Amino acid sequence: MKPLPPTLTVTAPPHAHCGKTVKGRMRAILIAMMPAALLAVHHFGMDALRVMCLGAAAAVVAEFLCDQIMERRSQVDDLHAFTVGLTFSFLLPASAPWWMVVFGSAVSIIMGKMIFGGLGGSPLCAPLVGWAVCSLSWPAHMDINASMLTSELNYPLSQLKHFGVEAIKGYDLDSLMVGRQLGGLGAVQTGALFIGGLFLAIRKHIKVGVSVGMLAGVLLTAGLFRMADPAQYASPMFHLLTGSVIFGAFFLATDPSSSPMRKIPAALFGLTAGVLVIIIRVYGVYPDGTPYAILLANLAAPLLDRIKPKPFGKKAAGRTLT
Amino acid sequence: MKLFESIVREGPLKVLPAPQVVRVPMSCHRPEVQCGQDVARGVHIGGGRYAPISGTITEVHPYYICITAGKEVQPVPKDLSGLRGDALRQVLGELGAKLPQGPTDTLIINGVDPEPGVTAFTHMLTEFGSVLSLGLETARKIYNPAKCVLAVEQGRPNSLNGCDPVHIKEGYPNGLNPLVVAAVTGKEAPEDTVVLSVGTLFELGRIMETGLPCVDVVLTANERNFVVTVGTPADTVLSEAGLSVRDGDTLVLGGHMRGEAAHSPQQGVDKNTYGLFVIRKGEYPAVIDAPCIGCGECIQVCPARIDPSTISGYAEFRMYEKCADHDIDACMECGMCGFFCISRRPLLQYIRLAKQHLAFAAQCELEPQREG
Ligand code: SF4
Ligand code: SF4
Repeated sequence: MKPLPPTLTVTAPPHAHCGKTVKGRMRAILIAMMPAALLAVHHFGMDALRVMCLGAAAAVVAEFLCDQIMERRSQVDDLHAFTVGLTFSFLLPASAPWWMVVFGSAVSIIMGKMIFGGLGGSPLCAPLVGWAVCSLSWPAHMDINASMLTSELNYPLSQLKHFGVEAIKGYDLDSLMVGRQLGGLGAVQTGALFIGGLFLAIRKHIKVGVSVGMLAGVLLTAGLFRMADPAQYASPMFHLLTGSVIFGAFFLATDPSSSPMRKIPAALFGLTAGVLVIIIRVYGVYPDGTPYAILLANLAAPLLDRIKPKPFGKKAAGRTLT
Repeated sequence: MKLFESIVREGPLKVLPAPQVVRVPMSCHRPEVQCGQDVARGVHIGGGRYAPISGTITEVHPYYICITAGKEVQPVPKDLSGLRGDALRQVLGELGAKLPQGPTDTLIINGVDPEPGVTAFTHMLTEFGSVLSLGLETARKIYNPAKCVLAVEQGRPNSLNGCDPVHIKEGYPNGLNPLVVAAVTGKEAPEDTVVLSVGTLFELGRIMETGLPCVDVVLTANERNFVVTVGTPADTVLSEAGLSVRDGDTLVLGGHMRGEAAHSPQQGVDKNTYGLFVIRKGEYPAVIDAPCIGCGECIQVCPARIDPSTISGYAEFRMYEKCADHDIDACMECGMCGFFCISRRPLLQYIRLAKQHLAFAAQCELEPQREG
């Protein structure tokens, strides 16, 4: 008997691929978050580890349950839920109660991702949805100052808000960079996050325009305020290295589905978020404006996406009303 | 696979003898021959395809016509001397070379290899100078151009008599016809410009030499270039090139970015097949029916500057008219979007689907949204 001819796989072109996958990208993001996570454990002890584990686990379980309810094949193995959970816990104080971590993480997944149809559908950055719900519902537990009682570290942004520039004289930038400050347990590890962010940018895993735009927005706006009155406003570098600016610029604002896709809109989006951070910090009631600034910029993303070049060989872009 | 590698191959091409059995690929065409009929080489067998060998038709399949070699029948060549302009173009069309209408101002010969890994075009330029010159002369007779340009990749010394060489930035997709035109003329989609690939010139040259339809094609397989008869089963070329296919592999006729996946190793090569590649099972992440995550990779690599993610989303939900609103017609089907999509969406497939529906709707004036 003649052997059967081999059965071929028939697919549409292109038959080759660059090799980047969603799972690979999530893995890279997790690697980029690792140094900050380690530093968080170093500074805040087992409490931080507890919050991170709870957050990640709750997100994965929540997504799995949603998939069951929605009767579809679960894709938790793409690590996105895990990343969202960990990102959410990075924004919490290490003292956050367990039920709030679990609730907020689940809300991030349910309201920030699954309700829009899963990965890629959300117009908002998922972890920030959970953060916003928690900070509106339990301001006392989300309050960074509450965790101050058990730590020798301070929350620089709250001191700036309530006691003015004089109060933050004691901070030098080096210690801010290694995370010797209070705030979201992972988000304040600014130096480590910056290295992680650079890694993602070099590996082309994030929209670099967003990060550069946001950092530029923060520096420029804070610089303008500083120039206007150095006695009243903190320096741009202080703003850059406190709260979750670095974390936001590299890990939150770059969320693919909630940021614009083209280069110029992406840079404008980042710039908007950066400017809003400082405006909220200066005029708002929140010491750290980053999460809300990014959420607000998310709302502007579809508008910014309208800025587009002419298609090849055409006089003008087609009728694009939706 | 690298998109930007630049390979030079030299030395004579290997000419494969005409096989005993050919399968001439056909689709959507009414065959003009029947099973058991004897045909001479060069006879029209339907759909603009010609018998590449003399023999007997042994199978008429919706996708191919199989001919088994028989007694050599001397075909009757057409007399092409003395023809010019559109008359020549029409006669060539009857011999299988479909050419765009002329006359034109600028004639561009695209000598850039069509896809990464394919070296057949540049190799033809060095080895088949006389055939190509004849082809060029013919094209000149048809188009009567004021200016003739040969586009080659940067750093290549190739030339063709009477053509000004223009160097094209290396790397895919810079060698595609629309982009070459833009690079040569400085205008996107200008009028009064005709582009012919080196493959087409080769066909013209061969037709002029013999007065018969061209039955040869030059293709790259396993880093070597071959001259093969149209309809030669792919596995004949593969074994000659030292390649083999296993269960689950993809056999590509053409190139990685735009080629067609063969349904069987016996499938015959077409007259525009410039490469033959085997892609191992699992070599690249598999295409999946995944949603777009909005990463923007596809938009940033698209040479047409359109938005493949949005267009594919609309195509997915059969909203083809929306695809037209998003300038789907500017797409040059280069495949870059699908190559870079991190969700591994079949972007080009969606785009082709939408284009086909739009063309169909324009033809029949059907409501594209409802039909489908
Ligand atoms: S195939 Fe994709 S990348 Fe290429 S032109 Fe079309 S939409 Fe753009
Ligand atoms: S590359 Fe794929 S996932 Fe990314 S925007 Fe384009 S279609 Fe969406």
